[in-house]
Amino acid sequence: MSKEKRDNKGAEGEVKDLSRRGFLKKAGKGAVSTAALAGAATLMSGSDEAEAKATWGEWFQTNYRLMTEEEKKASVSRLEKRYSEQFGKRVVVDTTPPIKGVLFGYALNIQKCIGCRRCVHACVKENNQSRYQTEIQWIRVIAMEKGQFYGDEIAYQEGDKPLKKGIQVGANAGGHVGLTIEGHHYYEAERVPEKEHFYLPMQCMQCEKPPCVKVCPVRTTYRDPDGIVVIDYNWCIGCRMCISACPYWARRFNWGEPNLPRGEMNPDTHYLGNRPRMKGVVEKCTFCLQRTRKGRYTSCVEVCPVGARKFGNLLDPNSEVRKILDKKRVFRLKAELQTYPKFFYFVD
Amino acid sequence: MDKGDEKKVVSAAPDAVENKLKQHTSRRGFLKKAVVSTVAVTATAALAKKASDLIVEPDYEKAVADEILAGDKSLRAREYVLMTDREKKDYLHALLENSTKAD
Repeated sequence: MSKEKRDNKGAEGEVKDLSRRGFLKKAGKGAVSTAALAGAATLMSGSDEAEAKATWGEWFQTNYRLMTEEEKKASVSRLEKRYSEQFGKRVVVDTTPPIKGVLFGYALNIQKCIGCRRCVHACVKENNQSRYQTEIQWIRVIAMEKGQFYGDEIAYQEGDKPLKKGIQVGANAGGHVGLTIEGHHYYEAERVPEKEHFYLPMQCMQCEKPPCVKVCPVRTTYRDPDGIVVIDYNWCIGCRMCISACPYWARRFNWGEPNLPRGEMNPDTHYLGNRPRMKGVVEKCTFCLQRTRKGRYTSCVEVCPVGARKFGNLLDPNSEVRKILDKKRVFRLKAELQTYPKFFYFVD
Repeated sequence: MDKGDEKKVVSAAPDAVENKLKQHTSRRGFLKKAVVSTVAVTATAALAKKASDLIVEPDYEKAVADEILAGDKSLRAREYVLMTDREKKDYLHALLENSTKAD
């Protein structure tokens, strides 16, 4: 280096060091570097264990429906590894596809339901919902006053004239009957069933024309050929459009990081069903597809002490649910919306 | 500093400015800026998120309850309509037909 150059460098350095601009520039750079380091550290460490273990592969994987078999395998093995580490047990993430020739349907006898809410708790247990602080429940049971709804006052169509009280028969049978039903979700009865009450359990209706699917901007939720509306949790952006669209209020949003204790985690999971969810995604009832796609009943059907819940294949004329549709008095919720729910309520 | 040195400093300053300008317009300079800006934005976002998480304590229970109660409210004052045999038949037909269609 020539003397002149050295002098130039020295001169430049002097100008920089002495000027206010130079000082501010240096200070700014220093602040940015510190912030960058702190930010990078924050991102690397993650806000909790689960987030820290999220791998790059998981961040950049595609929509489940577009994955090749290899990609699915890789994704599942990543998840199994992560969940097994997180929950301290061997977790299986199943990807059993829908069974051909099956369209699941559900029927619930509201005359039999006693409002014990065992279904609610069995569902939470089976499907790895968040516990404590915010327990997310996919089923909710609404207590209603019996006198207003049925009993001796069930209305039948008598000739052309529908009765002006109770349940109306036929969607176009007449005008509104003006029936008012007051429901309470958080009933705390010491014993159930309460006198003069009946119970209306609600969950995802697995609509054949689901509004939630129509509004999803990233197509993370879709209807599988067996009629179950599923969600790819990794693809969900948490926009909550589906929650607004669902007329049955069946979807739940994970506002916080789900709280699922190790000991209570169900290790038999399905990719589109009960695998642990993350903060900021939507979830809902999937008719326990981790069970039903293997020929088992849903946990709510199994646990119901009075046999009010029936489940089966709508394509099979001999299934229980088809027989109920044929023989019993059946109604749907919000039939006027034409969402074609596959969840029916019936009375004997 | 003697008089001769002072002269050199003064004459060197325009060169330094030129070098600086070159650095600003060069590809290296641009990339440097881009990287620094990206890191700065990411860092600021991460810090802001962390800070907001610490400051604001969201009431998740209330958020969930608000959603559920809104649903219950909507279910009030409804009428439940039994299906006629004809409706049941048509409905089943529609379901079975739709089930064969692709999503």
